[in-house]
Amino acid sequence: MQRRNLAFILESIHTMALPPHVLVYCLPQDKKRDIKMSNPLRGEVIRLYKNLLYLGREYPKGTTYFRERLKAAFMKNKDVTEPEKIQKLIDRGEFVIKELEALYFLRKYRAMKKRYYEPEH
Amino acid sequence: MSARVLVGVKRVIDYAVKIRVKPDHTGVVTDGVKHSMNPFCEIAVEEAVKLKEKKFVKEVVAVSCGPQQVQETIRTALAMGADRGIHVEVSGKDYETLGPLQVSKILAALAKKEQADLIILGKQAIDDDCNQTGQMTAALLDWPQGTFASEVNIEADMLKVVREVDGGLETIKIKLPAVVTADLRLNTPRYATLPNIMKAKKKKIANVKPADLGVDMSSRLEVLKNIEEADAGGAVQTNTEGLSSLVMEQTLRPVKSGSAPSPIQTRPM
Repeated sequence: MQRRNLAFILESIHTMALPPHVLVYCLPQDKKRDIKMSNPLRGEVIRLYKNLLYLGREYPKGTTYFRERLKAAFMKNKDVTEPEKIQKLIDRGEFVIKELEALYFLRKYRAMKKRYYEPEH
Repeated sequence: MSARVLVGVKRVIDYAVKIRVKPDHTGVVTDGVKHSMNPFCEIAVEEAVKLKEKKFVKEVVAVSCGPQQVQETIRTALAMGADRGIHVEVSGKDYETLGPLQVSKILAALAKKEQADLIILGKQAIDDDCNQTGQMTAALLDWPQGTFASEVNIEADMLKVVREVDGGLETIKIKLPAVVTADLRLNTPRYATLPNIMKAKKKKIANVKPADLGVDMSSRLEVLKNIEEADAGGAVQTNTEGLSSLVMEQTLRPVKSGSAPSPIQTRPM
């Protein structure tokens, strides 16, 4: 219910071509709170960031390298407001998590294979 | 099936870390160095959790021996799907001399106490490369063993294990209860992601002392010296046509001296 109202509001803002902050003034108090909370997907985005940060501890090029690039990538998209676009970005983030897990597994597997097993021809 | 699986996990220096020998040659630098679960132990935990998901076993118990930090490793095992953990407190001098013999005595005592039907361990630890704990545990318990397992299947109350040996693959059928040690190609361990670690905080880790289990922690081995060996690691590769860059790895060979005959040959403790 909340989401539908928010989408409706954002849509109407675009169609009216008025700057969002002007329209916020015209809204009743609870709707203002909705927009300030920006999105119910906010929690998911924060969770995604924390998960990626946790995964970055094992990154081969170093934790700081990973963290800088992670922050830059998230900050680049900070002004996105449409829920579908945000969901797409979240899905991309989940994909990156899977890629990282695969990277870590392959690194470890190849290291163990090289150390403990005869080279195959 | 109402079986209980005991999985042993070891906290070792992370596989990707460059090892440095202490200047006084008494050991390896471990302070401030990244530690993690032994890769073969991860494979063991994954196999136990897979067996639980297939409903062959009822409960997976993760065990580790060592000081307080070892609880991190147990938490990782819990995050991968183990139900509860047991932390066997070993610290100080006992921890420095902790080896496969002591660990296998502890595991044998725990297996009897927890009434485990299956023990799954990693085939060897990447720090000491002993490859002894699984075999010793099986001998102490007088259980059959399926070592270097690359495939494990439970059929009725028998275990079918495909072992990776030098000559190829060997399939054996052993009776439960049994000890299995995991080889590299047994499975693909899942990553313990942050949400799983958070969920695992609710799972219990019990504290036990070796004395409670009636285990004698004295070691029959004395490490004399640890030296660095600047050398190509592992097997010397001569058939490297096309490979222009050979990776030179620094390997460490702990020089040990034993004051007693091999523990495996003496009577079980």
